[in-house]
Amino acid sequence: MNSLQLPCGIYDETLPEDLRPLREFSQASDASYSFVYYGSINSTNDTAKSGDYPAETVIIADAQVNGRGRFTRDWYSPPGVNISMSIALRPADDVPAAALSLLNTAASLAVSRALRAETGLDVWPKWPNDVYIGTRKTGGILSESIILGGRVLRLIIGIGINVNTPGFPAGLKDKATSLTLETGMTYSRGQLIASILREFDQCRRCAPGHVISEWTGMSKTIGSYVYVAGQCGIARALNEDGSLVIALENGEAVTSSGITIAPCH
Amino acid sequence: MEINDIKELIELIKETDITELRYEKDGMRISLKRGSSTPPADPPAVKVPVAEALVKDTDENVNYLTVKSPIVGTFYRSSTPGAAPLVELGDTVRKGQALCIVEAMKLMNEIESEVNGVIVKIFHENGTAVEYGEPLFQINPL
Repeated sequence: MNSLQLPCGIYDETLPEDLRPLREFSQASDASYSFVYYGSINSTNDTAKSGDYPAETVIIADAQVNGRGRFTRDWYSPPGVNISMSIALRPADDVPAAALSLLNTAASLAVSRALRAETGLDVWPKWPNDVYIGTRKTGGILSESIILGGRVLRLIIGIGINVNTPGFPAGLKDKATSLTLETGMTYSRGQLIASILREFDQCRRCAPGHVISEWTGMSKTIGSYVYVAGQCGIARALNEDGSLVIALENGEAVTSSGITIAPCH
Repeated sequence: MEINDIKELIELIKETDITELRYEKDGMRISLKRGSSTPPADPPAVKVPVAEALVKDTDENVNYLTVKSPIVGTFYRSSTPGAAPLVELGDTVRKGQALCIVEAMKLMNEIESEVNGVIVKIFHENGTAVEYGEPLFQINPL
């Protein structure tokens, strides 16, 4: 497995052309990220977890053999057309594990912001870890942390985005979309990744209230009918710990954190 | 749990002074709160204290160390569904070895051992909801 490290903006012919904007991005004076590029690996999250990468390293793969959604749900991603990346972070010593959910929220906000800016599409974050255009999923966040003795040693934010996928298999057609399917245009993955990282840098330094407020304004999850453990309700708000506040039809309020939600009306 | 069970729970709460109830079974969690359904518009930044994930027991298991959950979430013994548990009772573990996953809001938190030792107690079944500070493992340090 050969990797191409780009901390100093090293140019290499093996880097796909549409990822080359990352070379300039990594050389920019305000850029704090280093990049490691793989042609094909099992998953960028697994690589980020198993390797002893310095903080702020971004693992990028042209193709993931074993890309996965939450708890290994299949993620359809042909090689060379989509974004498969993981941002490896080393949070400060005093960052509590309970605060990680907010970073996850910040990541989905950053992806939505960046894709909106680059495509003009109405991209929105769907609770808890997806990115949607209309009623179809175009991306997802799968984050993992390593905690020892109550301290967060590492946080890995995995991001997958359907960018230039020309079409989906029959079973996914109604559920998934890509940027190119929405606009008919082809996008530079390098430019999108640079935009996502710029937005993430901003979002993760924002006050929690600001992240939640902007996420709430952008997400169609808020205000939508949801089905929670046998009852219908309306998602009302996002808590700082990442849980949803749901108003049930009988007037009671429920905090949902560990259950799946689905539309009921 | 069916819809009638939830309704029954709600009715039961109404007849008491209870303002909040949490119910957990088979990985499903229901939390009921009485009062306003509208949260604060702009939640203040709250700093949650870092859990002391490894503490010495003070009673009969004086030499054992307890690994506690640093967050509220769902306890998983393996890293992916269907995979073998990361550790079993009686296993010798190294410092830094992964013991379990606690999932919180789709964020997978891998909890590592802080010491070399032998697992002498596993407190929860796979898929159990755990609270902040709840014991997960007891380890006899080597």
